[in-house]
Amino acid sequence: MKFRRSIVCLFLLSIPCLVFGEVIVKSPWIAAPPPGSRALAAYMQIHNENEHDHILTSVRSIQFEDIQIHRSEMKDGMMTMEQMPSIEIPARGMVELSSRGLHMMLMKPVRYFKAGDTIELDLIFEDGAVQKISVPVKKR
Amino acid sequence: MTDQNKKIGLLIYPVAMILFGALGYGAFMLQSGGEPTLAELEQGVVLDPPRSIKWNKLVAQDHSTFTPRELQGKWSYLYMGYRSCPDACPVAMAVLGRVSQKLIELELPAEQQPQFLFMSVDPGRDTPELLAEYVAFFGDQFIGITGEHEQLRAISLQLGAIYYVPEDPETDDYEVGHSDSIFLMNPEGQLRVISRPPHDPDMIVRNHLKLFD
Repeated sequence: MKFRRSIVCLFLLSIPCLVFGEVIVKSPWIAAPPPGSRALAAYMQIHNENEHDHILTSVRSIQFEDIQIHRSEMKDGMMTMEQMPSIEIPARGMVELSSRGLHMMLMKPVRYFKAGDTIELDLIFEDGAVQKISVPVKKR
Repeated sequence: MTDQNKKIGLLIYPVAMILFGALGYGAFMLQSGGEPTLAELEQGVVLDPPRSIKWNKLVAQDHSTFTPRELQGKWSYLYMGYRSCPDACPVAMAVLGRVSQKLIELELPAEQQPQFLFMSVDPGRDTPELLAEYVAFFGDQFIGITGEHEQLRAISLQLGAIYYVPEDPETDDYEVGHSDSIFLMNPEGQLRVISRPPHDPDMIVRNHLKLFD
């Protein structure tokens, strides 16, 4: 049991943690896309350790023509995607970007990305703060 | 969730389940005219008796005609989606890829090893060549198929699935709405199991093995 717990601890320690002020992005990853894909999905947890809310208003990368915030949802029995204007990260809260939910859509890549690559993203918040993160591309 | 809400949730849940069950039962009675039973699986249902599907002519990734004969004599998992789908489809395909690996590792008898089909409901963009490239990314066990909307609609309706492709998209960047279930056809090409999302490879494998208990 103890052994298992220490494995879990090791695993948690190995999760990449990128800190900027008091907004912390944890375990970001981008799913390696099938060939010919014109959009990649980015997933992560955004923690807000501040006493006030933060709003993520846009995401930029020189490696993509456009990045949008999307939410996949089941609507009338169909999986559909809706574009969201922003993501609000509540004070002392966390927002999870995950498959089949809220995620970033990285559109029209400048080249083909595969597992093992790294993609640089700029997260831009409503107060003008920019958080730069390096996100690994991984196999789903 | 507050305790009050939890209590309401607990009350609503069984009522909804009964209503849903009744609706489903009614729908199947209408469809087949028989006395089917729906055995509940984890995240899915077994149709008993299986539902016969009229498989229209489709085209496979190598440009060959995909006829109902391709479904004869083997179990077939089918997922319905589109190639440029960034979230739901790759998740389901990755799950099916893992299911395939696990079933191979279990060394099931050949007649219990399924084939895996990806049916694109976006024939306007998903040519057979692009489909071939797409499915190969998830494993060489997949076969990509597509067809005319008329054929695809008829098949999806029989499966109890739906999809939506914009009729007159402004750009080539449109999105497609589609059901996120995984369908399992028996060796007669009849619908046997519907697995509902969120998909989990271990669960699908457990459900698969249950069919041969």
